[in-house]
Amino acid sequence: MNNQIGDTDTDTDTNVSTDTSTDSQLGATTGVETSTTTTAGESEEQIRDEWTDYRFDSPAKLSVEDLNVWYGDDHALKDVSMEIPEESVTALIGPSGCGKSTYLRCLNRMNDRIKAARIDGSVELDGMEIYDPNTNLVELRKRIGMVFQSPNPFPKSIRDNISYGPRKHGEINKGLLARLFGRDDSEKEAELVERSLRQAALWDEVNDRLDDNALGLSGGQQQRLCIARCLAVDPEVILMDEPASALDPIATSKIEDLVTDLAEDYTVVIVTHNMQQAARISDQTAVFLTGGELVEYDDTDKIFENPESQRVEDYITGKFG
Amino acid sequence: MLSSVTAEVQDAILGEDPSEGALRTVGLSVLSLVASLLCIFLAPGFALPVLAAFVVVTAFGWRTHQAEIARLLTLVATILTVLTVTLITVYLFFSAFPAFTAHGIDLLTIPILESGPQWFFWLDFVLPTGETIWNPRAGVYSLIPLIWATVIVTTIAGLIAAPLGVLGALFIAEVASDRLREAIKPGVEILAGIPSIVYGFIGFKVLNGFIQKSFLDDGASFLIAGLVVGIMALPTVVSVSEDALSSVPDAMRDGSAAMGATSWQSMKSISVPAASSGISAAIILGLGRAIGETMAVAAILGAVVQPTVPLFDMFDASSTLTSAIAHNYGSATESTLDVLFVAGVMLFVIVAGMSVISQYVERRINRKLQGQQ
Repeated sequence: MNNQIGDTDTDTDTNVSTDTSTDSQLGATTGVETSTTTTAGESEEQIRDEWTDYRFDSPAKLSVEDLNVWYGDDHALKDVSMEIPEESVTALIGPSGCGKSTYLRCLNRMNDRIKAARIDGSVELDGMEIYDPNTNLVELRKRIGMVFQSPNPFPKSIRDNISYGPRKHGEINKGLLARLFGRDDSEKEAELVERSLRQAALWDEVNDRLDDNALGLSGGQQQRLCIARCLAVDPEVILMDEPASALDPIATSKIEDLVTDLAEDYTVVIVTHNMQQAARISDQTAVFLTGGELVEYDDTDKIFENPESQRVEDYITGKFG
Repeated sequence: MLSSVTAEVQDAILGEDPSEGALRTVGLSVLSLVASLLCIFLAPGFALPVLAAFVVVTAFGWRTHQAEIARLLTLVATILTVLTVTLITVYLFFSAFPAFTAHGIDLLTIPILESGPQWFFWLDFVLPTGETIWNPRAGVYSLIPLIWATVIVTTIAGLIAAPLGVLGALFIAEVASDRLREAIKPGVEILAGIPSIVYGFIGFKVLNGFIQKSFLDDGASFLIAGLVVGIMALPTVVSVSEDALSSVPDAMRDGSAAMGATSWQSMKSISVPAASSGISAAIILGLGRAIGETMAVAAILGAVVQPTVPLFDMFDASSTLTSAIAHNYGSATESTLDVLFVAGVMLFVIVAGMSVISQYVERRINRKLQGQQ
């Protein structure tokens, strides 16, 4: 994004010098026009298709094709194409403002809620186009759950937080009518609450106070509650937008363990600022760099040990971002 | 106690270590102000010159010790406000006192009709009953019809203002687009700026005329008064609840949407419960406004003081506590005036009570929402 130019405090002199050196290396290789939206300290280079061409054996859960997002005149995401494999952890990393959160929010159409956003391209979940005009958003968001950057439990009891989704989808009935006709689902609810909280590794901490307000929990517990809430609707994909960035190290490590466990049954896509975190928990990593471009996408080990792109290497080794 | 307060005030105005000059300037200014206040009560003729002296002293002090004088002036402004409210309260209660002693519980006499005492929620077992209820010439005053008229008008107003106001706030805060919101919000606020006598006049002239012509010969005074007062209370309810709804964090709505809830489900199960403290406060504030409303009610209901028969007859008419004061204060005898002051005390207590309750409700629900029960 343009407002990132000169935003960081790295001195701009290095920018110029690296520019010339990389230009001489890569400048003549392709006819693609050079990207000019770099942050301070970031060199320029052309992105090559094979850097983002990541192949895997299992079928793709999500496949994204030529996704473009504009916020007003701001081109936030440029021609992103990537396929996300099933039952794995995919990390999205990159400096702030690089469009990784925007990309994540496109996967369950949360960007629809931003009026200024314009989205172009295709996202398929199990081969089904989610940007089809006939897509049922309720059904889509049931299948693709989301956990946000700062914990956002509802101001309700812990139990009600978990059963919120199923109740809204009519899977659990606890209203007056349901009780009158003997179709009260309290038992089913109790089971669901316990299962979800256990999956989120929160059950042992809160099982004696399920009726307490969720806002009384600590930040880490709130975030795990949000994960449990998301699991309660039994999604196939879980999107996580820097889920641990507002938490202390202990809470963070709990979330990380949880993410690794979840990848056995769910497809997890996680945005993170923390490169060690991405290296620890993810199976494959996608690197977004300034300007909303997907620069490199490959096995996590490959990205962190031997990246193709000079800019990705610079970013990972902490030269900018 | 008093000395510690004085010391604290002195500290606040003069600072830790006041200079001789500052002490003298502020002291002189305070002295002249107190003297002018005393003069108003004791020797009104001297009040103006002494006040002028205060102004001169303060003006000079402003040049030499501006910080100290500025702090003093803020203190004086605060004290004057509090003092005014206190004096009004004391005066109200003092003026009502003779009527309390002269009539006592008879002020709440329940009227007797042909069929016996008027049914009043079993209160007729406790309260006195009487043939006449409001007859200044005979020295008989019962405030029961006034209180009841106030209750009816406020109830109707509440039934109109609460649902309309909350739904309107929901539309503005959650449904309307940004541009629509910018057009509607000032519109609602203009509603609050229309003088109350204009509402009353419209109610009397247009609504009452329409109803008399088309439906009921006698008119429907309580209903119309309640309707008009309800509309007058609307802006309060709308803008306070809209503020409450807008302050619900967007993260919660996003969370709800990401769970696959529809926008109506989010509104119903997240926004409204989270804003419930503000919404209840809005309704209570609106009701407070409805109770205190005078001119519109006086114009619609007229000066009659009578019990409604049956009790719930909302097509009847009778003065309320407020409109009775407005209609009678000009022509009343000394003893009637005292009774009107009792009505004033009742209003004061009710409205003050409601604002205390609204604050209590707001704080309680907020505490509950933040998880610290």
